Amino acid sequence: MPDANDIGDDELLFRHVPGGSQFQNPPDKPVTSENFRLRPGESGLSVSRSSLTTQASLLKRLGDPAKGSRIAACRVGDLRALGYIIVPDPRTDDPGHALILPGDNDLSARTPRKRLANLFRLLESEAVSEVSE
Amino acid sequence: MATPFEQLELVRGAQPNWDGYGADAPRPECVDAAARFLRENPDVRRLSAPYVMPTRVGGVLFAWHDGTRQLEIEVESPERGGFVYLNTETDESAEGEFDLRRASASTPSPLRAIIADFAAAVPV
Repeated sequence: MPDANDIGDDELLFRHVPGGSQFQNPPDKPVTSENFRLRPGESGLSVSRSSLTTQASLLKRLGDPAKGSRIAACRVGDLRALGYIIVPDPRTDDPGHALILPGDNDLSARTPRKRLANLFRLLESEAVSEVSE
Repeated sequence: MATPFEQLELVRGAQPNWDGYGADAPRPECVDAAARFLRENPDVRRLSAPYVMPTRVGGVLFAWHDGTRQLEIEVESPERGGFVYLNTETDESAEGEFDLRRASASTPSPLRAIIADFAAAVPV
């Protein structure tokens, strides 16, 4: 079992992207920045650690695969390279829950949000290895 | 494939927490303003059909992608809009906000220049 406080650069972080054409770009297009906007009162973006949370469990908890829910993923090291801070934030329903804190970035501005979105890729089902390469 | 206006109607039906992370439902007045902007703005009408989605704070987002170039225009409220442009190859970027009531007839100049450049590369 990985140490919950030690998040390595090579670990993937998952974020749910709801299914439906009104929520997802076409498959060959990037994930839109809107998935990475902080709402008022949020200090960080909710994600789930691939070492502790499976894609299937995240989809089951937050989405509906039958409606096309997907998982977007990003390497921790790529986020840190842009100045983001990743902190574990385990919850009873998701022990792998973590937060992406803005760190040096201003997520109220659109350009940092866009750059953040471009780090994420929509995964094919359980095709984690494609992103980690 | 749904038209942008059909997509807007799908966006209108999005429920609170549509992303599983507590997102707000789109505000009807924002969807109406987004439809008006898309229908009436002469510069945006030169572009190909955008991808349309709700924002996490109740607005509407239009997105265009052309290889390494990405443009997003957001309707934050019936009065206010914003945009971001990013070229992932050159790292050139621009962002700004504008008065959406005026933008239906006249695009703010930085955005107009980006749209002109985009329209030249993306056939409608």
